[in-house]
Amino acid sequence: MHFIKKNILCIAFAAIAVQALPAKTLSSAPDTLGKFDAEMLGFETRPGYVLPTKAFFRGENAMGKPIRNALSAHLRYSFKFSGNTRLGRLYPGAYQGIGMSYDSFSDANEIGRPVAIYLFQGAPFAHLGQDMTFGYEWNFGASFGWKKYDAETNPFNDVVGSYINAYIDLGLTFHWQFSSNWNLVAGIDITHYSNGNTNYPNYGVNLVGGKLGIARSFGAVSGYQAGKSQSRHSETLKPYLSCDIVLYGSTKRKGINWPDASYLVPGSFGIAGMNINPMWGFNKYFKAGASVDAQYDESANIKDHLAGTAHSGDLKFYRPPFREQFAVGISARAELTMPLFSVNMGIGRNVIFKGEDTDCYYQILALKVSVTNNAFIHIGYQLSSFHKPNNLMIGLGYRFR
Amino acid sequence: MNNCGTLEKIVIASICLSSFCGCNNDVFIDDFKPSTSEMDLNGDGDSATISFAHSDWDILGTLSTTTQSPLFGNIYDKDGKMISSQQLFRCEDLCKMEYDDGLTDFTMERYAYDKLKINVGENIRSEDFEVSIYVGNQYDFKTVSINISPSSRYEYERMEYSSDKMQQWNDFKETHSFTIDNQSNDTIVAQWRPYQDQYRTISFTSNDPAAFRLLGSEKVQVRLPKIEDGKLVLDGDCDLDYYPSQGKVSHTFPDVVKNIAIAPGEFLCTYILDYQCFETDFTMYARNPNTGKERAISGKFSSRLPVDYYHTMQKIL
Repeated sequence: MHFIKKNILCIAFAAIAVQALPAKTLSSAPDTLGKFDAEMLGFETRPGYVLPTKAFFRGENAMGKPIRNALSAHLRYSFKFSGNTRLGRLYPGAYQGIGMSYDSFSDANEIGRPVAIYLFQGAPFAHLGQDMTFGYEWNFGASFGWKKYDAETNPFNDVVGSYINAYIDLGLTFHWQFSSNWNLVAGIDITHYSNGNTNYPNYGVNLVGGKLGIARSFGAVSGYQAGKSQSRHSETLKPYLSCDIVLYGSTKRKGINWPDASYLVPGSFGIAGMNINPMWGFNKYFKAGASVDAQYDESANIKDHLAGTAHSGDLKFYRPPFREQFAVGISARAELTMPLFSVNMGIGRNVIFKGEDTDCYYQILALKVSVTNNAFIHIGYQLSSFHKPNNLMIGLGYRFR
Repeated sequence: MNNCGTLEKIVIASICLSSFCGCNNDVFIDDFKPSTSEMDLNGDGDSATISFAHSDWDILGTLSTTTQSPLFGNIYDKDGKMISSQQLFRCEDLCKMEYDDGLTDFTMERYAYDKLKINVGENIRSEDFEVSIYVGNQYDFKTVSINISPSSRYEYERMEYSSDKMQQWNDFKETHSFTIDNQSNDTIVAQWRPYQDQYRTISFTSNDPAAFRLLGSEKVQVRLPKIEDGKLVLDGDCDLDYYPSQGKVSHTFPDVVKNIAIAPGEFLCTYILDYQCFETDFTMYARNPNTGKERAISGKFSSRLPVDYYHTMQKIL
């Protein structure tokens, strides 16, 4: 499972590379007939406020002081699809790319100075005048270099349990093209770092902050305003039916709560699942439908199969019958569809299950990264009962339409 | 698309492999769950095999809820060599354990690491013999309860007494004494019926716990022995219920009236009976009508019979 954690970004980047292979990169020559309308290199700084979600942030740390401040520096490459392409005509103004950030907290000794590598995508909501747009942007990736909890060397840090954590960011962004090739970027964002319940503790780090940066564009149609002319007569999409089939796997940690005690089970448990998700595409941005979600969870209901305690003090369990580890649920799904990426959200409930652990509602948030016209990489996260971390959903999907 | 197909295959294979590697085997142990947790066995001889879901278990001990005590017995290894004699039942490998308290006997044999075979000999108790077998490992234990029903009642076949082991002796015992003061000047006569209210006393005793339970609660008449001309013979006229401890046997004594002359004066008169006593070994044979099994119960038979009488007169000065 470490393969997935360490290489998921490589897989995702490969997906983009597959799409981008025919195109030139960072061309300085005009290429209006090429695949990309504009390519940009940008630099941003993002000061942030660390939300005091745990006592560790409020001052119960080795430093003895609240941890409030964070600052990150981002180097980013992005591109837009040309109006000569179907994606460019469908989604004028949308941009996507790869970024790298260096993060610093006021207590680096206990948290670390992680470096994140991430994918991002944005699109304008509105054009404010000739040279300014207002839109959204999400970032998703992995951050490396965290100092995780250790009972001996880092005992106060009960928020970070992994050296590698997922990086998720959602923001509102202004872009101002103040010269032919230069853009000013400003905005606000919220950021979440956690390990997706692959290790404990998994409370994660949450930030709210702002961002300020500058981007240099390359190409005949410059910067974030590229595509503006097409947007007035952008291509539409007829309503359509599609069905996504996703196979995924993951690992998860398992904590057990009894009325008078809690126990973190050593090791990581395997997860495997499949989603069959027919959806109706209402327009080019939005799809909705239902999904049949089958999942095998190696850790499900082990609480009911406690065997005893080893000499080391570790609890041992009998492997629950497959019937108690496997559940099938039905969920309602909604999906934001953009070039290369789709963001899928779902709320569902297990309908075929046995045992307390699988008798629950579940919530899914997933990013689908297109690899081909029909195949995609699925990077998802599942909660149960709206608040309990459940598991990552790393896999592959295929879209029938 | 061909290139993409290759990429897809690589990623799919990687994910599948990664998923399988994710299993947390160290946390799980194999459940040795027995095929049954409760079993009824016939006390006339029965056998059953308990299968276990896995071999990671040992016999930790046994407890009879009938006797409220742990079970002891002989323990043998897988080659049939005795490991220990009359030890608490406990075994960590293939083994066989024999239990026999005289009333109930059975064996437990772990002949394979996931099999435990119970062989019941019989249970001559009048109630179920209940055994709890505790099996487990360092993490858990489970209980298998076995109820052995009572055997069919044995039927009496015959009784044999040993002439060789017979021991005989006489016992003189004062039966009555009194003082009498003859204040007359003449001798008076008192009459004494020495055998009046006398009887023969016999007893069966045995160290075999099955001795008096084998035939059930109903009494069985057995032929008694007697001494005739110094030899042990069966008394053709005398049967008695076979049961433990002493019993009284009616006996036909001669109607003797003894006249005792008492001279003038005060006397202490004492009656004395001479008892013919003997004891010998007995062996009682019985057979289970259902199984045909014959059992022999050994013990000691003793008899005490008044055969003569005396009296003494002692003048009180």
